[in-house]
Order: sequence, then structure tokens, then C-alpha cells
Amino acid sequence: MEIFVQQLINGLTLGSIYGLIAIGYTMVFGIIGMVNFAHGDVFMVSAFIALICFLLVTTVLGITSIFLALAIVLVVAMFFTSLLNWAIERVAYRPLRGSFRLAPMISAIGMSIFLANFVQVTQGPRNKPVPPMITDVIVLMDSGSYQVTLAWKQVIIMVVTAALLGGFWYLVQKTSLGRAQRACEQDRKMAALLGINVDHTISLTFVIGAALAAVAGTLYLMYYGVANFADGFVPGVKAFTAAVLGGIGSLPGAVLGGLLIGLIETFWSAYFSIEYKDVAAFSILAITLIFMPQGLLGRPEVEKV
Amino acid sequence: MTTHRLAAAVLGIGLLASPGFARAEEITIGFTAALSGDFAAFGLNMRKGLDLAVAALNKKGGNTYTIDAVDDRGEAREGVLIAQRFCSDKKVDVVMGYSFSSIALAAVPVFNECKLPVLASAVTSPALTNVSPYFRRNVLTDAVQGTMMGDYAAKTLGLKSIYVLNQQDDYGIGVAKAFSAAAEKDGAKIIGTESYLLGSKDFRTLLTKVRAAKPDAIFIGGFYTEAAKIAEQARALGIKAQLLSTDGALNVELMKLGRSAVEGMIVYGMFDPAVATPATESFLSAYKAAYKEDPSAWAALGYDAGMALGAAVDLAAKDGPVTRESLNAAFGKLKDVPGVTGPTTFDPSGDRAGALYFLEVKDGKFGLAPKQP
Repeated sequence: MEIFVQQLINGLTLGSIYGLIAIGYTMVFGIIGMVNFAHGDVFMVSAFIALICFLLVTTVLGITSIFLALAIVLVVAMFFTSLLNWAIERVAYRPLRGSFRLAPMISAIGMSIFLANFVQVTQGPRNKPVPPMITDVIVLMDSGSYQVTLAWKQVIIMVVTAALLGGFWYLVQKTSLGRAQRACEQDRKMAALLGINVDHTISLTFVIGAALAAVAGTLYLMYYGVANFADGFVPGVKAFTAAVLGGIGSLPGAVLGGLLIGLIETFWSAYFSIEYKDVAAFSILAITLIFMPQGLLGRPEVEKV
Repeated sequence: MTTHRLAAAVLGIGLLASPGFARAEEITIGFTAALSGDFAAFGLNMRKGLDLAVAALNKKGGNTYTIDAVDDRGEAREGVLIAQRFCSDKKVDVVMGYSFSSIALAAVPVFNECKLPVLASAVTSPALTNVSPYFRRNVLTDAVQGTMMGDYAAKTLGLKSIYVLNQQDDYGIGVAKAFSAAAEKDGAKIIGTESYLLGSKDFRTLLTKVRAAKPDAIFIGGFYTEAAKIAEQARALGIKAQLLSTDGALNVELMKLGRSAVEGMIVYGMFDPAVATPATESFLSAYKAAYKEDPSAWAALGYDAGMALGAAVDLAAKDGPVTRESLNAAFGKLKDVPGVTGPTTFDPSGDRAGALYFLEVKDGKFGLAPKQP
């Protein structure tokens, strides 16, 4: 029982990070119908931005309060990652809009390779560490022989994910920006006719996706303490799986999918074999696509004529 | 055609020189290893050690040595091409280096074809034992090193229950298997074995399982990147077991990544600057003067390989001009060539016998572990 609870905590933390990245996939797919394969690498770049910023904040500025430092890092990482993703959309995707459907996707794959290699060349191929932060834990259960612990880091990750999901759900459902976004999603041409600036809305979608990826990147760095140029790939593909599982295009679906993938991966490693955890996670992708292509919370695709 | 004529010319000159007549040989070493990318450190360190040895040999006078270095970038495909290049270059008398067993394995058939002797320094796969009469290495195999670590853990440290984690590849599996067999033979209990992928960062799930098993020690058969992560996350989960690892973790990066979590971890290696004996002192000071850093085990092995080559060339030169064939025969006849990792003698299988040092992380540095076998 104690071990089950402990693994549940591990799985929820991992799933929260996947969920945050998955939102970026899902929003972009929803609005322009494109799988942004570079999103995982944008996440990786954000972890590096967070790392550089964290080292600057703690050494050059000499800020010792870890929470203040983290808050600064989070804002800076969100800003620069958003800027990067905005630029990527302008340079690599917008000129291809209206081209054949595969063109921006291939461009995204190219962008993904570019980002990973750029970081490898400029930051080096090795793991870059940061000092461990927030190492305190809370003891939840103590059966004498086994303690169930919840690290503050894990609490932060789950709380931040829940807060952001709430915030973004509000943004999409209740604000004019969200309305514009949903309108573009349903019919881009009609939205344009009705006076919505479609290019602007799409840009903002990329910016929001990147900001969430930056939160995930910062939390990832805080949780694992290292960043590596290759880190974009596997978390990126898993988050994509999460988006598909939750129903691509659906915000709550992305988070639900992320949590499920995190839990499946963790419990699979805990009770079966850890070697096959990625096989288990990706089998879910195949099974979802075969039996439930619209995902858990997605709507069946309406044929646009 | 040109190479054939050249070879004939070289052979002609060789025949002109009468045996016993003192003449300087020009030895070209074909050096290949991963010199760029993720695991460039092993190759670059070997090269530094070898450079030092070559400088010492050239200073001694007589035969002269030059190095022709090629980066294999850690790719087996490159390894075969490089082997073919060395083979067809008649100037190359011996090939040294190699960072990865898989690349050496791929290249061996090519060297068999052209009878070019190989003396490798960092490849530890048991699959390379007895692989070819032209292949030798001066590093101990994973199987031998794993067995020694297993004996050390069970007998010297007296650990009773050990949880084994290993990297999911030939290296990790090989070393973990040898470790487990030796430790169990000596009375320790292996209470669990799990493997992980190179590049993994999340070990909490795995370590939650390990914590429930309450082992005395955790053996990590893998590289420093994952060993540091495992140590950090294990300590964060409150696991206080003794951590053991391999020569793959014997790297200063371990402390940079793991910081206080890796304190007390015990690893092994064939050399360490902490173990200064009279034999190693001149090497240590020369290395520090040349490169402004401490030599690693790989640098020491590269240096010893260079010294073994020097001894083999001297031996071969006694009976006439040094050829690939005579050099290969001379390697087989070497006996106890002194070196910083101990004396070198090659078995007919191509391996060598040697000792391991057990090193403990203390105050962010590797030092000799208090208990030695």
C-alpha cells in the first residue's frame, strides 16, 4: 500500500510535466491542424534558458531565497521561450501556411533538429547540472518499515500544473482572445471575414504554448537538476502521445492524457519491467489511434467542406 | 599499383639492412578513438597519455615514433573505414586507442586481413578476448573487473544484501552479471536486479522499489551520468545504502553532477592519481606539467600502451627490421613491461592480468578507499 502511494506520487509528478508540454501540442493542432514536432525541443531550450538564468540569478545577483530565484527564472524562461516560439512560427511555419498540409510539419521536424543541434554545439553534449534546490520532504505515511514521502518539489509541480490549467481554461473559454482562438479553430476563413486577426491569434497560440513549455522546462530542471540537448525528444514524444490520448485539440484532455501517461509509465515500471516502460507508453499511442482516434475527451472530427 | 610498388621498395630497403646492424626505425602509430561527442573524454585522455609516452620514447633516441590520429566519432561504421585506411597505409605499423568495444569488434576482421597489430587501451568487452592473434589490450575486461568488485563488496566490505542496477547495454549487463556472480559466491545476497537506459533521468520509480527491499548496498553498473542521478535521487528518497559503481563512474564529472550525494560512493579503476607509488611519480609530474591536470585511468593506460609499444619495437628490432608481423610477434613475447598501471604481459588471448584500485569519493575527490582487498 505504502509503495503504491509512493509510486502514485511519482507518476502524478511525471504526468504533470507531460501534461504541460502536451497543452502546447494540442493548442497548435487545434488552431492550425499541424503537429508541431519542434515543441519538445522548444521545451528543452526552455530548460537551458532556465538553467542559465538560474545560475546568473544565484551567482551574479546573489539571490539566496530559492523561491524568489525560481519565480524570476520562471518569468525569464517564459519570456524568452515565448519569443523563440513566436520567431519560429514567423520564420518556419507562417510562410508555409496555405501550402500543402505536410509542408509545415516537415519544417517543424527540421526546426526540431536545428534546435537540438544548436544547443549541442553551443552548450556542449554533456549533462549540465544545477545545484539541488528545495530538498525538503513531507512524510505522509509511516508504517514503521516504510515511509511515504512527498517532496516539496513534487507539490510545486502539481500545484503549478493545476493552477495553470485553470488559468488557461479560463483564458480559452471566457476571454475574447479565447473566443478568437476557438473561432479560428472552427473556421479560419470565416473568422477572418468576421474581423478576427487570424495571424495574430495563431502567433499568440504559439506564444502561450511556449510559455507553458517553459514552465514545464523550469520544473523539469528543478526536479531532475540537469539539462541535456537530447532531452527534448522523449518527453516531447510522450507529451504528444498524451495529447493524442486525451484527444488532440482538447485542453483538459492534454492534461488528463499527460497524467495517464505518467501513471502508466510509473506503474508499469513499478510492477512489471522498467526496460519496457517506453514500450508501454508508446503502445498506448498505437492503441488509441486504432480504437479511439478522437481520444478520451476529443470530439470526433467534423469534415470541413 | 603504387602501394604495391611502394611496399616492394620498402621490403627491398628492409632486406638491405642486415640484422643486428643498429638502425633507427620509424614507427607510425595509427591512433583511433572517439575524439568528439558525448564520450570523447576517454579517447582524448588516452591520446594525452600516449603523446606523453611517445615524447619520452623519442627523447630516449634510437627509434622515432609518430602518431597518425583519426576520430571515429563513436560510430562502428567509421571504425571499419578507418581500419581499412590504416591497413592500406603501409607506413602504419601498429594501431592504438579505441573507446568502444563495438567499434573495435567491427574493425578486427579488417586488421586480420592485413596482419596489422592492435593495442587497445579502453575497450573492456569480454567479446574481444581471443578475438584475433593481432588484437591485444592493456585494460582488464568487464568480466574480470566486475568479478573483482563483487569479491570486494562481499568479502572486504562484508555487505550482505545488494541491489544491482545496470545500464541496458553490453557494458552494463556484462559487468553486472560478473559482479552478481562473484558477490553471491562470496555469500552476499543479490536481492534485485533492474536495468535502465543510458540517458535516463528519472530513477524515482526504480528507487522506490529499491527502498522497499532495504539493501545494504546498491551496485550501479553504468556511467557517471546516471550514477550521479541515481545517487542524488536515492539520497533524496532517504536511501542510506552504500553506493558502489564501476570504472564508468570514475570521472571527475561524477562529483560535478552528483555533488554531496555521491560522497562515499566506491568505484574502481586501474589507476588513480591518489595512488602515488614511486613508479607513477614521474608520470604524474610529467603529465601535470604537460596538461595542467591530473591524469585519469585512461591517460595512464594510454601511456602504458605507448611504453609497451616501445618495448615491443626494441625487441623486434633486435632480429631485423620492424614489420607488422615482427612487431606482432614481439608483443606476444613481452614480459612484465613496467608501467604506471602495473607490469604488462599479454596472454595468448590478447588480455593482460592486472590489479584494481578501489576508490572512494571523499570531500568531492576520489581517494583510495579505506578498505582494500
